[in-house]
Amino acid sequence: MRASTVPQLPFDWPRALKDAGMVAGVVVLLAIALLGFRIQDTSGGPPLAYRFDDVVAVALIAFLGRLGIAALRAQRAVPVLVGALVFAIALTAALVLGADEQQLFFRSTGLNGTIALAAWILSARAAWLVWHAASETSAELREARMDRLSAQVQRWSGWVGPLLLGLAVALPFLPWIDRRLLDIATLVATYIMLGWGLNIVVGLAGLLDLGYVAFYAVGAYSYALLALHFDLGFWLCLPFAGIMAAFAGILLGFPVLRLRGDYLAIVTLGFGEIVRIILLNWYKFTNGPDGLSGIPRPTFFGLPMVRDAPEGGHSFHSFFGLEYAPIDRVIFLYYLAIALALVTNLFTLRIRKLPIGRAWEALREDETACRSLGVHPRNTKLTAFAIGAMFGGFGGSFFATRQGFISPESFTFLESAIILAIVVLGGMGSQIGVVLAAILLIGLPEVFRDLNQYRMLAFGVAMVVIMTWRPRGLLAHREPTVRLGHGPPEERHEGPHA
Amino acid sequence: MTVLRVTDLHAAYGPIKALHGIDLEVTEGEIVTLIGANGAGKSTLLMTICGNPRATRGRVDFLGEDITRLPAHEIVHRGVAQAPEGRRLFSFMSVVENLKMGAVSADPRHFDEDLERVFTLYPILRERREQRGGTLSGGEQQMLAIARALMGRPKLLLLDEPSLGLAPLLVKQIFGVIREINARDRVTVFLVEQNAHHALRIAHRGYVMANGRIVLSGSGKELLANAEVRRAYLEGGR
Ligand SMILES: Nc1ncnc2c1ncn2[C@@H]1O[C@H](COP(=O)(O)OP(=O)(O)OP(=O)(O)O)[C@@H](O)[C@H]1O
Ligand SMILES: [Mg+2]
Repeated sequence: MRASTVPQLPFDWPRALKDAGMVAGVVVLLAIALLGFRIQDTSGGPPLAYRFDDVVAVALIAFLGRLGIAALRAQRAVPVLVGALVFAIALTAALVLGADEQQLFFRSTGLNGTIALAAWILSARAAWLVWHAASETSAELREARMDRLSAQVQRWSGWVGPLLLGLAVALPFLPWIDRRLLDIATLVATYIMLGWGLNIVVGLAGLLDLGYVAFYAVGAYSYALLALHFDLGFWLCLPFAGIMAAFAGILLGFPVLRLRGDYLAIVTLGFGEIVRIILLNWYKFTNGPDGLSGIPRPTFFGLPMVRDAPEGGHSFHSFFGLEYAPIDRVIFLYYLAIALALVTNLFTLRIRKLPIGRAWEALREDETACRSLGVHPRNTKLTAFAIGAMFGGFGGSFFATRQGFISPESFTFLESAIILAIVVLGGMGSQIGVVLAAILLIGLPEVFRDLNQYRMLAFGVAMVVIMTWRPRGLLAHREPTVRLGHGPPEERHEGPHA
Repeated sequence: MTVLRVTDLHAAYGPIKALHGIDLEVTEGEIVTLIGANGAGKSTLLMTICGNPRATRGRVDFLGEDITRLPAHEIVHRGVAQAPEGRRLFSFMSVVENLKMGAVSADPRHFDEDLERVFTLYPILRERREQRGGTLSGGEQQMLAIARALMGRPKLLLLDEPSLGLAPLLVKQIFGVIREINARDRVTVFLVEQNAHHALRIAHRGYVMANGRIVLSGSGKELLANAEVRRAYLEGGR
């Protein structure tokens, strides 16, 4: 933030070049193995294709990127900004306009896209430095203003919450809502719920969990397997799925929660992958990559949402004497997602005021102090982990019942990353921030699905912009959870959070 | 009755040995002061009593029970509270929330009563109860650290340099309160201080520490009069 106060050091060209060269060398070694050879499935031709042009391209990009980062570190932001921006725009434009893949750097859109995103990030970072150097005070003012806004939002949460809830409840009946929008809203509600669940672990307890999707998967598979093998209904399976996921959380948490920060993150990331690989390979139990299908749909307290009532029973519509409409099931699923999310939120709001919730937050701040006050660190973290996992499990069951089909493909690391992005972007620990971030990250890309290639691009750019604009998350602010009478309000100026 | 007995206690940070066989005793109802130069190992001693870092040799008994191998949080539940060096408040939490964290090891039914008690000791905390720990002034933070330690209804209170960085008037006030806690609430106090003059004046007994060893002990008065102590800790340093 203090870009302008850092003196301009002379830029050490030889060192930067040597450094970039070394990075490029390492990249070449890696890329020869990863990119250099392609196994071809064309019959007749040679089984391997050599693509050393890709290797050269990737090395060149690594070289330039490394040089750019070195220049940024030395406060040479403007040339980097120009270079990276030109590069990013050119590559993006080429991608979007559907240039012939052969003419771009790589033969894979994914790779090209990744490179473009990296260029965007670099340019955003450079832009940030330029901007902050130019108007440091205004940046600080802006931060303060946003902080005040966050505090205000928290203060308003008394009625912002109910207002949002009312809006959510009324949503299916708004005139311009169609099935597609409702589906998107359901998806957003699911992610809000998952975000709130993960917020307990990451936002409140401060444990960086990169494998949250594991619990989501455990919940989904628990529900699917219970429902398929034992013919149990959604409502009976839901608590089971939650318990199974919580159990998985304890299983993982017990050995690893003594790890801190980065180490914990890496282990949880590994756990997420392990769960996915087990699901993929335990064919007898999980049906492997083929997944499980025919998962029963949820019922309205035992009344199925189907056109024709089952024999000797009622369907939802026949019971209430309504005309069957297919959209009703979508609406029902939507309300179900909202209800589950609401439960998660109420639970979190409540537990924050209980000793255990306070202990989570205290633990995040200072573990040593907590221990010397009599908090049992491992058990406290374990409860956060288990409870967060439980909500992940609920989310998973809902996902399974909504899709009717699950396979390990739905539970990749990307899913964990998205949920984590929602929490971090929203401002760790902020409940309304999660809603905002979920709408931004899940809702908008879905709504603009027609834009096709632009979509992921917009996602990336939006994320970069938000993180540059407000690195601590949109609505990072913490209100005390205890109030005694009407004490004088906080008068002191709030310093920025750490 | 002996509240705390430390016998031949050794502790180390990796290869660095910080304590080389400490012996001391604190009896019920006493204020005992520990003074010593920077880096003598005073804070290490307090923290080793609380179980973090672990003692490499020797033992610590609290009310007749060997607590050397107990985990830190168990030791707190036995009735040992610490206001550690550097205060270690929860800076994003309000004053009341900090106090609630201090009451983790106490019976929740006592909370209101205990809160009233510390607010009476430190009326400024009552005024500031909604304010964040991190935005309190240094003196207020120190008061909060002591108040937080008191919320657990400790039998033994360990204080690490409570007067650090405070104005003379506040130092006086802090020591006044320590005396009050000791006299009225019968809390045994083990106090680490640089401010030897004040600390020895309110202490029943004192120990002097150097290079990880106890080098001198006696009543507060004796130590105040001791030529060596005067030369090393009192003269010019008041
Ligand atoms: N976490 C640590 N890791 C390594 N060495 C440490 C650590 N903490 C303290 N030490 C060392 O142990 C010795 C004793 O430190 P300690 O903090 O107990 O001193 P002290 O008497 O409390 O000093 P002061 O009056 O300055 O607070 C010092 O030499 C210090 O450098
Ligand atoms: Mg010390």
